[in-house]
Amino acid sequence: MAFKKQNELHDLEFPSLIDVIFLLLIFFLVTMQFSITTDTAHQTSTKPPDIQLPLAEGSENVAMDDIISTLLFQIQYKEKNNPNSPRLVYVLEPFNGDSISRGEAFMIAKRDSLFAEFPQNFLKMKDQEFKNTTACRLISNAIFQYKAEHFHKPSIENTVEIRAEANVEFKIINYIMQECSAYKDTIPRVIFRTLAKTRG
Amino acid sequence: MAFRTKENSFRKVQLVSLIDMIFILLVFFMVTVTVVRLTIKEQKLPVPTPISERGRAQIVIQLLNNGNFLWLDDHATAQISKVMDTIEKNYSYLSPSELNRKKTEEALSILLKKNIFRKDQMEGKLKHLLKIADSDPSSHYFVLLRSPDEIPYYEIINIMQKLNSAKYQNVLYGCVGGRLDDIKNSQNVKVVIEKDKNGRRRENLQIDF
Repeated sequence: MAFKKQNELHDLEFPSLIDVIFLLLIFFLVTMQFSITTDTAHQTSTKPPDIQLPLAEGSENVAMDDIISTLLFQIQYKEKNNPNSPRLVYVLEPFNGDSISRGEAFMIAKRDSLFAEFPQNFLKMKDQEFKNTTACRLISNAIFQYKAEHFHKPSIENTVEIRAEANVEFKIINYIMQECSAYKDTIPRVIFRTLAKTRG
Repeated sequence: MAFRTKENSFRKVQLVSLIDMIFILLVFFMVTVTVVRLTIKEQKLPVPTPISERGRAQIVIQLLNNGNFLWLDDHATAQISKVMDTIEKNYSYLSPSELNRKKTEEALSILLKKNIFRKDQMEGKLKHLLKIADSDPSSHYFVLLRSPDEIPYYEIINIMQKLNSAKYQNVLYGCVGGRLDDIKNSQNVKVVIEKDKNGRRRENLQIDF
């Protein structure tokens, strides 16, 4: 019986190699497109307006971009990029305990009227008057309700987040912190959302 | 006359060069993806929730509306301690309550005269603090930031992010609302001697407001 002797040294399969490389190339191309879309998506209706966060180094990274996993207060100008316009506070929270995107949480807050405007003269208000504003009552109720539903026992994981325009006055931030301090050990930390410094 | 034979018009694609180019493109896009992600990253800066009871801090930074700041630390305590001793000797004829008032007035006057710094000195002070903290991992500092209502909160973030950059994370911080007037109007400033956790006697500045 005659056996055909096989050639031991095969040529490299260039077409397959090129296929794989092209697939990788297309993958990275597509990924890059998505990243850019995420950054500029504030132009779409499902995204909350982007706000100028303060820059900070050395803080922890947000685990997943744009995911709301705990109670978050977003404080922004009523008119985009206009620091002289009134401040608005939006209450963003996970939906039925499940993490949702910031865009979705923002839409829910708008739909359920979980937002309020601070009066223009809030800096001149006395403490009691300030506490009685609609915005402060909204903050206070949101913390009370969220704590009752989710923070059953003291834990370092129990946090409230603040995402605010860099120029927002400390009075508003301090009010949120004071409200959290009413629950002492139950909410031991408040988290400020900041932006990492760019490297390019 | 000799003619060259006609060249083959279907030349093979130069695979090696093609692969080179594709790899270069691949590396380029890989790097680009990373850079884009870095520029949009949000981060979290934790701050302990303030507790409304008498607290302790190694350093108190009181921000002022004009951008300047009051910095109280061990040096301030030493200044006050010296003054307290002098007053006690010179005004021994006063009643205890009058003596206490005199001490508080003098202490406040010195604190406000010698410990208010310009805005541009903040960075240097923080760097110095971090240098000390980084040189001794076993040391721990708590810095209390007090800020008036009107200050944009990014100024607080700026200070906290610097404190957060301590190599051994041994500089903790907290922030509360408050004005310089609270300190100016304090009814009681004194130096108390307490033992630290190592049993060493320490002079601490106590300001009630």
